[in-house]
Amino acid sequence: MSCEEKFEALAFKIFSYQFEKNLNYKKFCVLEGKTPSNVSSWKEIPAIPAAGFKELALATFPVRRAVKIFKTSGTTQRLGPIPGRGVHFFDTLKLYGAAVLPPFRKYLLPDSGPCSFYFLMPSPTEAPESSLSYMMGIVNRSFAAGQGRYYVKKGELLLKRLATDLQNEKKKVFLASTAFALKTFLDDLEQRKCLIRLPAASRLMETGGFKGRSREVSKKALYGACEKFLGIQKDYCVSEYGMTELSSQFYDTTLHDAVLKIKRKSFKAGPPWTRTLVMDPRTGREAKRGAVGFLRHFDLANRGSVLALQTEDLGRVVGVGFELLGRAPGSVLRGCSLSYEEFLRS
Amino acid sequence: MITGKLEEARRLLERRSTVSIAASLGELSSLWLKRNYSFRKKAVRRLVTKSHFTEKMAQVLLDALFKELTYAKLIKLLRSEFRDPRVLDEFRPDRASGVRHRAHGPRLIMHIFAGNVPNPSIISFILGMLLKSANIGKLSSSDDGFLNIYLDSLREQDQALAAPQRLIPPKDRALLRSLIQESDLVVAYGTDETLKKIREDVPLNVFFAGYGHRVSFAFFAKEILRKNKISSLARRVARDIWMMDARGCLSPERLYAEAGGEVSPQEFAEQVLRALEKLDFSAERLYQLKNWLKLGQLQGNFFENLQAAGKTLQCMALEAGPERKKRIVEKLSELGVNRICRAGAMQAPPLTWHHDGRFNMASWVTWTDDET
Repeated sequence: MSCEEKFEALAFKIFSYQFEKNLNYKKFCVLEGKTPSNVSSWKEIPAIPAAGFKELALATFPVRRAVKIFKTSGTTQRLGPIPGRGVHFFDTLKLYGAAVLPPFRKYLLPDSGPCSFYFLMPSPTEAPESSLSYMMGIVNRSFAAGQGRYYVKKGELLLKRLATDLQNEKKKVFLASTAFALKTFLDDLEQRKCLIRLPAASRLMETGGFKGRSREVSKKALYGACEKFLGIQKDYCVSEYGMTELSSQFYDTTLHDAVLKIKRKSFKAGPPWTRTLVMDPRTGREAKRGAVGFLRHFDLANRGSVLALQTEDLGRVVGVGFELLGRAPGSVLRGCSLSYEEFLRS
Repeated sequence: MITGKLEEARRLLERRSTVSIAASLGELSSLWLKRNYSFRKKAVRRLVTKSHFTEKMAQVLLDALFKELTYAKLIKLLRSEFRDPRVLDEFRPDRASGVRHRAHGPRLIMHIFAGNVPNPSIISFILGMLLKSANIGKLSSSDDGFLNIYLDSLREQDQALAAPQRLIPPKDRALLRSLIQESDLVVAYGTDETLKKIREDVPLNVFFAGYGHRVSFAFFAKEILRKNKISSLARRVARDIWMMDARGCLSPERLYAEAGGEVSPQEFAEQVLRALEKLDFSAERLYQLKNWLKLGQLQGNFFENLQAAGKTLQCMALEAGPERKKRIVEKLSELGVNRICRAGAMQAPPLTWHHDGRFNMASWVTWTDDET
């Protein structure tokens, strides 16, 4: 069986399982006119809009049996009568944990040698509902023997301490941060005229913490500042793209390509048990190759919820992955104030 | 002090009658209702490029707004809020109490706006001007609407009225804080979280009026879901969704169609979708709305969802037979819905609407009662 055939076979199996066990998803599929008996390709498996995770319990098991609940930050979710957060229930975390490691290793640790881990985000104990913190906890345990340090405590960014610790670091560094916290950190370094030169081959994992905030900063400017103030090369800045509603993550291929000396335009790639389609909003069908549309993810590790997710993120196909272009302008469907500018935070 | 010049201008304004201010504002509205008015053209451009409305949406939005701000409508509003609007100019006898009343607007109103829809910023300033207050506005930094363009047009029309009106940079929090200290009234629009934080900065002796998160719905009873009515009904509700690009507090968050009528809820949803497709949404928005309609069909109980919305309930478009309508209206009022209208009229609330269920200007003024 080819890789594609294996993916499809497993996708059908999980789809049938979820159709059977997840009543809300079953209703959705029936209204879409798609059931396990008439779906002829994995691409036809009905994708639940991300807002569904906010409004409906989407689980293949009674939610009171959930061992873990991840919630979206609340700024990225819209639609629905009650302003709330998307909720992802898990009946086990074994699959989730297993899904985190291979792509992380491939796209952030493709080289060898000892590495020190720094996390500019709250620890999993401090943010038990954050999938990002949980995921970084797994990385910390597996690759750093739990020695990595977290620099957000009680909602405070410990910027000075991070700067001092980074300055004293001898080994190459892995730094993980949301884009928002990173920008704050770099601004702080700039203000204090503090230039840190991290050891060669230090790397950054940044994730789209700007969603829903007004302070969009271009990636280019952000990575430029990283090079200037931290000495991390642009090739070693990797943007991670994950969603609370998914169990797998996508990464830029930049670092992987730089280490393996592959010359190509970088793109976002996920593990082999994921696929991403770009949907043309005009036709509701798959967009032509290279055209911009809404991303639709298929993630076979999402066994306990729904494997197909329709997002409101815009992107297009590049290489064997995709490029993320952010949200449609003015795209916020809202009640009176769901995404009002929160000026007090800016 | 920043308020020095402002206070001077306000004092001059205080000598004018409220009716003369309404007349001037009404005249300005009639200019804004003309498609080729230069300031209007500017505003349309702003709404299209920065607020991401389509041009047609922007035109309809401006028409709907300024049709409610004519001289006649402003006078109606003053009457509805004060009965005798001349209390804003002088002491007036009140028959019911036998006492003479006089109402003063706040000297300084600090308005803090949100970015989803531009109308509240214009209306809020106009209410303040009718009270002869000095108004300072802080616009949203993500989307500043067109209040500054409106104030430019006012400056051409009525310089004295425009003189005590100001806007401050959206991100200067220190300035905002210090102005809040000097205000008599803070009017804020935003998320409940934002309002909570603003409120912490407002001293006890400054009055605070917060307009927070609100949601609206539409309900269609089975007796009106009839084959011959269905397409026009769908067109009307589609217009409600379209007008503020599905992002206002009067945009329906959810449509409820009762099962058991001649037309099923699914068929009705199809019709609404078809009507939405005919309007000039962006392709992305239309796609989102399709998903929204799909999800909507999965959730059930009408009154349960209304109850869950609790204190955030705003407007309900109601289509039902005459007998049931009466009962439903009663029930909705009990639940805290503050406006009930027909489908198709959601985005055109009369100026006299009790926004968020309260008096507007009448709750902003302070009264003097003369019993002598």
